[in-house]
Amino acid sequence: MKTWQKGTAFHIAVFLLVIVGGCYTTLRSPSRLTDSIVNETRYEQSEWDFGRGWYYHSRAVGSNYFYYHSMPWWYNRNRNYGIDTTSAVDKQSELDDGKIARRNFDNVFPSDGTINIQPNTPPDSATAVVPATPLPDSAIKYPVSKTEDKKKETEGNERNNISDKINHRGRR
Amino acid sequence: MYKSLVVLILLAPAALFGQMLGDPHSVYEIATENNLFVGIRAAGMAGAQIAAAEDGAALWYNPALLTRIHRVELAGALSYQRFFNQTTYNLNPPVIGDEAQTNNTRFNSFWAVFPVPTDRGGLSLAFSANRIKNFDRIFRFESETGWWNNPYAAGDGYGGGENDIGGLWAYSFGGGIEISRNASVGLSLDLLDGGDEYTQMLDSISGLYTYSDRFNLDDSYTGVTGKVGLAFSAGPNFHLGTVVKFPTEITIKQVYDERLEINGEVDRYYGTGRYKYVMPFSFGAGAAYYFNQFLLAADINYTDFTQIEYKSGLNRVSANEDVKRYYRDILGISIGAEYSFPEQGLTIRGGYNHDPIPFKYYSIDRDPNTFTGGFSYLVDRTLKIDLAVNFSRWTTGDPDFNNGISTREKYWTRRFYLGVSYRY
Repeated sequence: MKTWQKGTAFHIAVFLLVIVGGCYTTLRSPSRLTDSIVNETRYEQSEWDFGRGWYYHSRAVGSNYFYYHSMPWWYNRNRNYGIDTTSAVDKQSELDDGKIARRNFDNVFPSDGTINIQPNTPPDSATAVVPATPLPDSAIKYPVSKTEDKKKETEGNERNNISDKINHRGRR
Repeated sequence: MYKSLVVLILLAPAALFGQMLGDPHSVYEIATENNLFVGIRAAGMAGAQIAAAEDGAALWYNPALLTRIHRVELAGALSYQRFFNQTTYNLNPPVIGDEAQTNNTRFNSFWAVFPVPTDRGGLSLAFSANRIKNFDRIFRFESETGWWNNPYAAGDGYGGGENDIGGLWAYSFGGGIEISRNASVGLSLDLLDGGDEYTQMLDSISGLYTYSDRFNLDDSYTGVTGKVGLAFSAGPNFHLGTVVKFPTEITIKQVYDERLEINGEVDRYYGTGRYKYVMPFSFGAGAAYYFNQFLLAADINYTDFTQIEYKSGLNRVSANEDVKRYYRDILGISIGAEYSFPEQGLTIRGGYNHDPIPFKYYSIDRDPNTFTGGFSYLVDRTLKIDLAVNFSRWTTGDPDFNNGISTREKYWTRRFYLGVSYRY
């Protein structure tokens, strides 16, 4: 083998070593990251850092540690080293954002007699004062127990879930 | 251990029972009904187009028929709907409420068809944007006739209802090609987009108590589906067609707000939601018979809505069980006819359509039946004006509207379509 051939073979070998080694390290790195942050429970949504090139970072919420990894551009960000933070966020919101269904009117009627669902009952002359003109604002501010309403309104229908959702969203 | 086992065994029937009590309203989907005719010829012929389509509406009804179009065609149409409701609220004695009405003017359809020059046979490509579902509707009920329209004058009583504003559009891309002398095949991809603004209202006056609830739910729809169609000419006068519509995946994003006012004190609630479901395969078949200037066409469409599948947003197991319980499979029928006066450039049309409601929880006294009519006039060699009218009527009811009180809801619509098409 001639000298220049040896030299070329050496260069090719080094080149391949660098490529293979680089790939190996790159592909191995997920497990390292997994080990280091596996005990954390929540992560900020991760993103590509295009300005820096092929870097990927994720951060445990509440800490200042960033995990940078040199990743090939084609690496699926959602695989995210086995900890699928991005889709975990999606899944979380998917679970929370349940369907808001049309309601049965049954759930809208209050149960405290605010609505007289027995129209054949003769009106109580003491309370059935029917003004001929629309009630002014001042006339309808009578104290009335709304506890039953509230109880009914927060029972069994979506509203309960929704208030939870608002809290959740407020956090985000 | 034993204790927890005993508790588990005792609770098991309760858990099972809990699963059994599905709320039918949670699986109601407005997009399973409220079909609209696509294009004015179809609106005039009650949608009987699977074997009879001759214009860009073929992309929606049976893309294989696009091969019948040998010139570039551009078309657009508007629709105007008057929607009516009258509800009997089954108190003792029953209260027949006032008629309620809502009117809407909408874009209805646009399309462009481009025949491709070929050595033999035909090939046409097309794009269309069609309003395929109409959500514009109104529903009212009241504790005494006329209460809702003037509650303060009427005094003690209550009433309310629902408004829906919106619809679903299909943006379709596709084409048809002749695969033999008498047969052609076509494909389309349909992207769905639209929305529904739903409002539920309940007002009451009882003595000096006032109660007013407004519940608004804005649904925005996106979806995707597609279809493959076949057309076959069994002789010069007799044509057959069949179409398979692939499952439709629909994603709905929701925003909700509610305003509850009790004796002047106001509470507000907000929230958002999101869910996804898939409507099943749909199968259609049609036949068309030409006799001189007369055309008679008939279609059937079958869809088994018990196969609707929730993908997210609800407990999938119980929701899909509720779907089986509250939905049914339906067979829609369309019959249409057309007669041409070639010398006058005039064509008249008529038809009948039966389009059952798949959600059977609401007791359906009468499924939607539509009578249609229309005509087209050739203004010039290339320009055509089309008109169509539709009269629909159906009756449903809620078996348990409020504390066991039921309703009987009559609905009827009058639709008018106006459009222009241009071929060169």
